[in-house]
Amino acid sequence: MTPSLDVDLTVRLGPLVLAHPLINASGTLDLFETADSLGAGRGEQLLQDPPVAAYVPKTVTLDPRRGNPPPRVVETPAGMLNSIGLPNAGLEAFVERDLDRILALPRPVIFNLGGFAPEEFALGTERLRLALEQRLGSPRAVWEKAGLELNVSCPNVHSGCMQIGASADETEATVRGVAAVWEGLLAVKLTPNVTDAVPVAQAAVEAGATAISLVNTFKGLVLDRLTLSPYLGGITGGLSGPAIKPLALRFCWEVAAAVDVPIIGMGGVASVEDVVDYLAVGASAVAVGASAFRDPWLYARLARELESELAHRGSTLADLTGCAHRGGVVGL
Amino acid sequence: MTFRWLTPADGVEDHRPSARLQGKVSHSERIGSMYLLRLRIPGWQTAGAGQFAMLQAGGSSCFLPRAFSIHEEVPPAPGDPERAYEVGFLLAPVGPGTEELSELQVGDAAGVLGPLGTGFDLGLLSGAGRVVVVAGGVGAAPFPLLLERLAAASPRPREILVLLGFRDAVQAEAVHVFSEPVSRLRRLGVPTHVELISEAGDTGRTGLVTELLREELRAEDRLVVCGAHAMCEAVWDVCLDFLEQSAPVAEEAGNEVPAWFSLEAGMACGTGSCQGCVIEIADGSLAKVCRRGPVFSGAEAFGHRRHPCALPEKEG
Repeated sequence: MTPSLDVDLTVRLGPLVLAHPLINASGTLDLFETADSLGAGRGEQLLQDPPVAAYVPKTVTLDPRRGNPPPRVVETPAGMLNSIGLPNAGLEAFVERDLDRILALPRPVIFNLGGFAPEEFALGTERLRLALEQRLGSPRAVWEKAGLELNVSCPNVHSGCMQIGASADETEATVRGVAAVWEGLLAVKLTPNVTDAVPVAQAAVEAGATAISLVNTFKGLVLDRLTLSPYLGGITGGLSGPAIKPLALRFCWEVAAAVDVPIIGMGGVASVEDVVDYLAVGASAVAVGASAFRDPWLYARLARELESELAHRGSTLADLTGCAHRGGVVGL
Repeated sequence: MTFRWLTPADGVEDHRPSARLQGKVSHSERIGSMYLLRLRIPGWQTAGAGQFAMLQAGGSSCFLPRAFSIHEEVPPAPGDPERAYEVGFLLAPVGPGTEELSELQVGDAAGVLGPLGTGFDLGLLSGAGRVVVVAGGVGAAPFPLLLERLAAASPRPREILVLLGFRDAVQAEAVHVFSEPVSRLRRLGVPTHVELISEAGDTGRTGLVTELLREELRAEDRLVVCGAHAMCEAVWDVCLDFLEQSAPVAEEAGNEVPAWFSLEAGMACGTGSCQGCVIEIADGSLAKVCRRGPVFSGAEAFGHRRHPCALPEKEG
């Protein structure tokens, strides 16, 4: 056991306080399924002391969704293409079956809501807020435990979602409706499938977003080697993994320079160097996605490595955050 | 707030920094067209027959690990301070991930996540009646462990029949992986027979394993099956035909040949997070192979369909 190096890794995302900057990307970690899979001991520890500083559950939509037909995943060079299609039991079942155990986790939670029209997002948010208030009591208790991330960027559903996030106007309308009923952390997760994410990010902030998450996956295509027809059941999919990191980092760099709210940076994070890069371009928190499929404790290991990294550099998290915009760090 | 890791002093058993275990190759052996890879794995917890593990060669150039049935398992030697199990996997090099693993040498490292998934229910297989193993090619992988567990079960099955289908004589060399569990069962007084069939006809009979099954299947048999998806479908068809011929009324009443299939699908995590490995099962729903499976009952997976859902091709 490495002794604590006493580096302060605390991150504030609105009213949420995170013990370190490493969280999971929505849809890539189901703590409960993973805990069950790992069995007694390791599984229990996963829930007792989750490796993420905040837990981001998979996207939930108002209505239940079956998701896309298999095959849903395929490996690509330095990454993978997925077409999962937001399968979920719907918000009502989510509140009934999953909410209590999620709130019992000793971590803040950033709920991820998906939808296909602005009104749907607002309605879902209102219902979630109501359910949270019933369970946590005061609104203040809700905002300190729960944040919200709007998925306006899923590339794997046929209507809505990514179309919202590709348009500044649609995004603004969606966020405005949600911000009217949600005072906690309100992050908007943006798509990289646009020429420029800055106008969308600015529209989101203008409408009341208090954080920007980016990026979702890059839309891509893989063919079956034998048949030379699309491999995935959903035809196209979203590319993730180290292959996309420089692409995603560029989006974070540009958006961080253009807006004044915290950035949750993600895209291809696999090592502590990647974490440092995202912090350096201005991310406050860093989400790990597909790379943690190999090891559900990767987030915690990266946080610990970040801790030693900062200790070795003799610098603070604040020094590091956004330093790429200030000419980098001298003397490393 | 200063970030601090919880330690055993906080009353938490420490499994960090990784859920992924570090295996070290203790044995690697080519068997025909397959490889038997044995890993010494500190921290491994005993597996159920039919469970699987995600494996990735150390320094792999592949992004994702691959899922493999647990083929054999030897508990830690008394006094081993690491309490390391030796866990064996049978693999066929069919793509970059499996090729890397097949090239590992003794002493090389491999990342391991497991054991995972829902395996065979020994309670349904031990005791009276005959257990029929039906395996195609590298689908033989889960059965040596299953036979070892049946040998240790109480009561043991009354009789065991192992039907193996291979492409050709080279692939059929994998029959050797059954030598130990089969002799053990015989020593324990469980009549155990092994029959081979190959498509090329250069060893044993010529044909498909379903032909053997069609001749051998009888009432009271319980089947355990693993192989290519098309083979699994064909085995279930044989079961449906058998029911129809022997008891058409019983089939209407919901009677089923008791058969369990170890199925596969492309997987990213193996732990239920990614939802990538779903297959459509008999009730029309999509089930995660990594959690509800990999072992499904025939009725659960295929129902009364003669041609169940298509599965993705095997990945390497």
